[in-house]
Amino acid sequence: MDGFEQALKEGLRRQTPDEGFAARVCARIAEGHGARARPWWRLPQLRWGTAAALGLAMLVGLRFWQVRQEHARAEMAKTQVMVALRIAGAKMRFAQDRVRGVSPPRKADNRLAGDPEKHKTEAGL
Amino acid sequence: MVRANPVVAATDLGDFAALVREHQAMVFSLAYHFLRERAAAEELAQDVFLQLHRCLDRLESPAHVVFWLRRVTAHRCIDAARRRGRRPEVPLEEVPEASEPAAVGDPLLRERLRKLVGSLPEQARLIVLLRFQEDLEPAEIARVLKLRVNTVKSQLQRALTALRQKAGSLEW
Repeated sequence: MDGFEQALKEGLRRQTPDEGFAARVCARIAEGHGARARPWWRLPQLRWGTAAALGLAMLVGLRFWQVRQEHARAEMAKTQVMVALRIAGAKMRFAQDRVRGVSPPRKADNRLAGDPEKHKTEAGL
Repeated sequence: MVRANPVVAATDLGDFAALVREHQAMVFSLAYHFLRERAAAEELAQDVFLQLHRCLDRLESPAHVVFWLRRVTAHRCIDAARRRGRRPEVPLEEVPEASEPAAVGDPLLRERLRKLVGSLPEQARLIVLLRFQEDLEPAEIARVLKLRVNTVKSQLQRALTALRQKAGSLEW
């Protein structure tokens, strides 16, 4: 640092404000100029509340979607069971009739018993 | 064990007054050397400390407080200078030259140098103040003013050259 810079440093030395500066600042704070109330949208509680609500909404949505999926699977399984029972019943009746040799199979049952594979495909089995 | 943040603890007015006393010279001097007016500097310094009181909970350490104070003071100085547009800067050429050589410790010389610094453009003035009043390195000045280090260095060099040229007749 040369002479010029030294002189600059001396010239720009820190200066103290007038006596009682800190007291004047504190007086302004006490008057209410200091601690300005935070606007409601910047309250940390609101931020946490929003995050919690979003998280809850996501959980509820996920659960709702899971329940719907389960219902869909259950409906499909129920349909498949019903078709399987109908096919099994028809076959049983057909076999019973053949064993007894009493009467020819009924028309409707004959239709079912005639092509069980087709109905399996329709039911998704 | 949770340690109390010493900065946040100063939200109590007594502690805060101590914090103000600790840093008042730095803030006031930056404002005074920048604005060249005691009343305006005092008002600006008060506003800076009021803002500090509002932001204390976000400051993590005493060093952070010092950094924050320098940055906020610098920004407020520029804002104040722009608001006071009715008082344009004195161009370096209009600052009267010394009629006779002066010594380094001469109060007249110091006053003249302060006037010369006050005639610099806003950013260059802040850089010179942070360098010679606060004794900061260019890298630290760059952080405070959010500038690139090379920008700070070049502005500092240009400002010093201009100041030297104008103060050329003075003896060092």
